[in-house]
Amino acid sequence: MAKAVSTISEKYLLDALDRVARNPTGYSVLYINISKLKPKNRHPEFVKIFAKLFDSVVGDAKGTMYVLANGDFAILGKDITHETIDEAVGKLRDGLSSDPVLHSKDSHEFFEIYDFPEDLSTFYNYVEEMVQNAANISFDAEDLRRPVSVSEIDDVITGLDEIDIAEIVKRQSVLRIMGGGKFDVIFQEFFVAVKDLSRQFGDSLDLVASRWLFLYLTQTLDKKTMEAFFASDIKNWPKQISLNLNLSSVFSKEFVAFAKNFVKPEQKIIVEVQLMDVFNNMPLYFQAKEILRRGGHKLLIDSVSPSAMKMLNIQSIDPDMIKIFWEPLLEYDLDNEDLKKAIGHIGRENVILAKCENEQAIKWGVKYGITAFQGPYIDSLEVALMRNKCPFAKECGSQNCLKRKRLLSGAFRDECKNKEILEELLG
Amino acid sequence: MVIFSKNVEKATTKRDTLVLDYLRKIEKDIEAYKALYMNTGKLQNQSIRSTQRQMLVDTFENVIKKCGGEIFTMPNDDMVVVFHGKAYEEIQACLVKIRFVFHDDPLIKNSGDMKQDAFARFYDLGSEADEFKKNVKNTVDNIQEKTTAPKQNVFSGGSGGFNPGFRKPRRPLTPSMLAKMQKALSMMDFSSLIRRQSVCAVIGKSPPQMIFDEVFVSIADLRDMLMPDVDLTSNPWLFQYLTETLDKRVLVSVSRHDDGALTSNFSLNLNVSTILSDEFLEFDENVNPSQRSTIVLELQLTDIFSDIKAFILAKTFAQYRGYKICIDGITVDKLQYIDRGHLDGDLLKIIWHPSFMDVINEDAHFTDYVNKAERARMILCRVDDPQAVEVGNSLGINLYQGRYIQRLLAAQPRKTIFKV
Repeated sequence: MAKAVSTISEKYLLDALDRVARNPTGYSVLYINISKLKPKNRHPEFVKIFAKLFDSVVGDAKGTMYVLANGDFAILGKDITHETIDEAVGKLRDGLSSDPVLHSKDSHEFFEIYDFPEDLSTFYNYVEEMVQNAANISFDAEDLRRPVSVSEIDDVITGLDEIDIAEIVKRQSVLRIMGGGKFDVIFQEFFVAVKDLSRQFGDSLDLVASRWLFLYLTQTLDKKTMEAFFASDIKNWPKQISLNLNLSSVFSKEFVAFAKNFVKPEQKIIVEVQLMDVFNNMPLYFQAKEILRRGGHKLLIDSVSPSAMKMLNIQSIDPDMIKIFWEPLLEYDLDNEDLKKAIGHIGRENVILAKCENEQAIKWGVKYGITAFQGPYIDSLEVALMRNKCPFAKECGSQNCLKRKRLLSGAFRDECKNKEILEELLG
Repeated sequence: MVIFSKNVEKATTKRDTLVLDYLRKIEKDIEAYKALYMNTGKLQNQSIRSTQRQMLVDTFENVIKKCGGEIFTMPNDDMVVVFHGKAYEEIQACLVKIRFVFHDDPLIKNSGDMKQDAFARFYDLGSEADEFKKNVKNTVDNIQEKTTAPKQNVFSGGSGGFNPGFRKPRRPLTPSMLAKMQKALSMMDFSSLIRRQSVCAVIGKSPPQMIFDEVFVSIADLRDMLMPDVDLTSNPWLFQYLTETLDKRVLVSVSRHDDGALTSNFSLNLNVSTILSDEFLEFDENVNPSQRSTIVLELQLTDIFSDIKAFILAKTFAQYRGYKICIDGITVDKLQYIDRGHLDGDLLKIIWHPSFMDVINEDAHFTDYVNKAERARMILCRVDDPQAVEVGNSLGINLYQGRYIQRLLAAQPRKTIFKV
């Protein structure tokens, strides 16, 4: 269902420009490229907050802010000074520390000033062009998803029974980069992607619209995921298997069964938990860690950002491992003493840099002494090495090989002519 | 505070019996019986672990099994043990054990008389049965008064209206109950659930100076009003979801000035997501800009760590608008797991516990921290006795909140300053 984009703001803006054109001296427009922020930073609620951060600019300029169809802001007013802009952009930068566009050397990527009268016609044409282009834009399906409500969540949980979880569980390797271009699979993470789960509910429901309801759902999903292992087709399991779990799931009978009946004595489990789960119940965290350690297993704290890392005393929380999520902005953060210290406390061999998209990520990690990596860049590396060895490589695209390698069972995986190689582990 | 877990009650209390019914049952032989009333509902220890609760019940149950008697849970989480007089010494020994487990608790700590103090009292049912019955009734009446809307009382008067004693084991909150609760919340007069407690500056023996009032929703009252047999906190994620709903209702209520003169010098407990919501923007529009710096937004660690980026944005935004951010709910043991400097709240609320001093002694950095510019940022909350203020003052902490502070405040003429 496509929906035409409303360009009412643009039309008001053009009207205002028409009025100003009679006596344009002193007027200018500050144009803020919100649309250049990364999609996840353009959440409608965030955008409203960003608009508030420019209140002082609007006030000082006795101006008006127009929020355009593409999310960009245009502030039309008098005597807009660089000082007021810098202050507002500075606030935005503090509040949204992770977006590269805010930190690029050329600040004009993020905002522009059109001084009137000289830039009036350029800007006027620019807005007119936007109105014309907007006719061709429509929202994609994702924007139309309905947030799951509290009264529906029980139905979703019941619906989990109808789903063959084993078909949507995926795995991803965590590699240790050894000297001399050698790699070693430290462990594989097994998880259910939210996207795959949503698809099972017809893609019309946004399961993660409420973080808390989603977490409630994962308490059941955890158990189903552990049970799904028994139905998988994989024969060659890695020595260490990691699972994303609620802390409370470590105490479930499903976990006990998984550890006892599925995992072989020489195999170990790494349980990945979220930071807020740790802080929700610290005694439970320490108890879970104790139980896992007793069985030779490990506890990992997942998706820690460097900014979160600084707010913690990681030494006393003392997890076995920690996973830092790469983000492009980290490239600018090369000499962070706090981070170095935290990595030192946890032991650099116990730190994993995940979500690595490119070589820059690896380089950054190496600079901090990190040797274990995960993410799309690592996946492609792994698949390239696999395809080098596979006589049928030419028959399948590397994307298909990657998808099959990630699956545990199912028809799509079965199309592979060389299933043993899908299971081969580097190292 | 939820004291007795479901399985404990299932195992040890006969649900359909009432304390008074039981007394009638043993009437013929009542001279031989004694009763022990324990104010377990008043214990301060906010996280009595389920093992401790089980221990509490098991301790008495072993004796009662041998000698006869019954254990009861009062609706306010107090506990009653009716037992045969021949077990008197054993029951006293049980009580010593309990006093030992909860020795830190202010209710128990300063007790001189073992047989009758703020925590426990023995009744000889031969001579004190009437007094015992009266006290049980009073407890129940007090609770009913607090939790029942006046309209309902009209119908519950008359004979047989008295219904003391057992609470059924509380059922865990489910999504469908939560949906119902949301609906009920949208229709009820919410302002009746809003409570206030002052944060005060207390230095030495000087009278407390009110700094701001914390405005909050009493979860126990909410439960008793809408779902008395449901444990609202049984699932952490559903509870968090509930608090998001409550946040928005509080904001609307405060914006509309339902609660009278709440225009400045107050704090609100909010989720990070609430600060980024339309309801907050609306609230913000309604606040006099010059008063924003007297309004404090209190955030919890679990919520903060559930989305650090949202926290950073919300904090930046709120502070830019002029509000103060308070990092709330830091237990003494959690202090060592966070980096107070990098969390960078304007205020930091620490839950007082007698073990505070021990933690500080182990943490040399803490004294530096408190003795430097940061001391003005700290609030010690749940302060129920003077000791907390003494310890806090010795560390340079000036801000306090809790029942003891309320008592001090009540004895003073009302005065307000704001200087945080």
